[in-house]
Amino acid sequence: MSQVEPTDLLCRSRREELSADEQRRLNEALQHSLEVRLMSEVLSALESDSRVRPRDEALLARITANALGKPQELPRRRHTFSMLLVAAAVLLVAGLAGAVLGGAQPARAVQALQNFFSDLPREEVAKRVRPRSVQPKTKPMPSNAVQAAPEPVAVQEMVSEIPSAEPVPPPPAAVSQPKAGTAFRSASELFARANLRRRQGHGAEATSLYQLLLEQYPNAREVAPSRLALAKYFQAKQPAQALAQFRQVASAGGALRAEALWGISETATHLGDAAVAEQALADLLREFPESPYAEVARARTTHGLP
Amino acid sequence: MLRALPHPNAPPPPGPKAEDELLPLARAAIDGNEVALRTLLTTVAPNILRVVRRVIGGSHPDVEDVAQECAVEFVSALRRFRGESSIRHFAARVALRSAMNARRRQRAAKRNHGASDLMDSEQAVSDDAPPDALAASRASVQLARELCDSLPSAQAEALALHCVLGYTMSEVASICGAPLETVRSRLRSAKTALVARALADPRLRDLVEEMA
Repeated sequence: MSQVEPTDLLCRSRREELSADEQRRLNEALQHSLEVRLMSEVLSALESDSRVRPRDEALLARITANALGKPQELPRRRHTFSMLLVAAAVLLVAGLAGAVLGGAQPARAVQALQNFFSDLPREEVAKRVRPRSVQPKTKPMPSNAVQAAPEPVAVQEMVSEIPSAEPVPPPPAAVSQPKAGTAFRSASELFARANLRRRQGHGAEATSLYQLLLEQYPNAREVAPSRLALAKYFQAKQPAQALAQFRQVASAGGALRAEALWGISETATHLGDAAVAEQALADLLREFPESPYAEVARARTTHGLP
Repeated sequence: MLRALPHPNAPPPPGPKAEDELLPLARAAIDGNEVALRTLLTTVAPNILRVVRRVIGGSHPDVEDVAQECAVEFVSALRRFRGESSIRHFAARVALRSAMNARRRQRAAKRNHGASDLMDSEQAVSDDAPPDALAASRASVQLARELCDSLPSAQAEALALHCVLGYTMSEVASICGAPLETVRSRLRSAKTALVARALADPRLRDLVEEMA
């Protein structure tokens, strides 16, 4: 039977008592083996670095709540949906071209195209889709698909300044669709980019991207987590704006309401508004008694706010 | 000073008891029981957080984000759990891989932006240690993390599990689903590389001379 490796003894020594012989062997290895000594230094330092910290409870609660609230199959479904849209658009344009070239009624064809862009204001559609008089069959049909493509909008123009965290009013239904031609093809892509920039330490740019998402995709499912991210970004330095974002998320309900209520409580406490903080905790406990936040909330309501 | 005392943050020992504790919960979670999934995640979340702190550093500003990623990855990976290791070990491995990927991504991004590497310049040991011990500990940690970034993935994973997370070789073998001798061989190569780097690192000269 092979002898136990000294580094194994080192690992075991950090969680159980070694026998006298094992301890003697480990001590010898620590004195004579650079490998064991290095590993001992690393493990000691990392144990200190990964110790439990005062705010870990809330941190773990957030991690758990977010992990459970995150849609797992979202990217695949969105990809499929966008492919279907592209296929539908191609079929529509091909059908229209065939109809016009074949001498079918152009007014109905244009009407169909207008219906396709029915989410845009009528004036905008009229600009993009100009009904053409019937031409001889020999004249080629101009591509409506090309004409209908909106002008590309540079992302830099849209995020040129750091926007405030004021709640974004819902836009009219007619313009609820995102502007096409931007660098981001979907809310999830924009959200991923914003998250990446935030993690890379570019908070201001990330904030702009989240705001852009709120403006362009007001009905997307990424809206609530974007608001939460904005709220957390503003929490330390602009608590009033953070509170507004938390309230928007809370009022929308859904899986993130518990976290938003927790955020309201934290931010209101920071602002010195104990009544709002206590109300948020009470709502949290009443509506989400099973939430990971609830345990911390109970402690707060029992022992008082910090 | 020799630091070989047991520590409360050390990983839980393996064994049938640990497996039995969480397996029914995991099975219920896999079957779609949301309460079981929540309870399971609440139970393993501290382990995930500990792994993340050890891999990227406890004071790193992205600890929460990376731990979040790891938790999501754990929930997603749970469907692939076949019971070959304990749930805690499974969670540790998933978290380790996610955290190491996040660390590599961030290092690459920082290199592209020409910024200094914050992940390894941070405080990794308590301030009450003597200055020379502090420097040696920091350098050792940095060395181990950098080595994990550069080694082939199987060796890096074994080294991180053993040297960063403190699992014994048999535990590493169980976690990776690899034969013990394979793990031993991977670790032998990795630890040789660690020693070679330490010998070449001026910050560890005192430690090396002390051992000579």
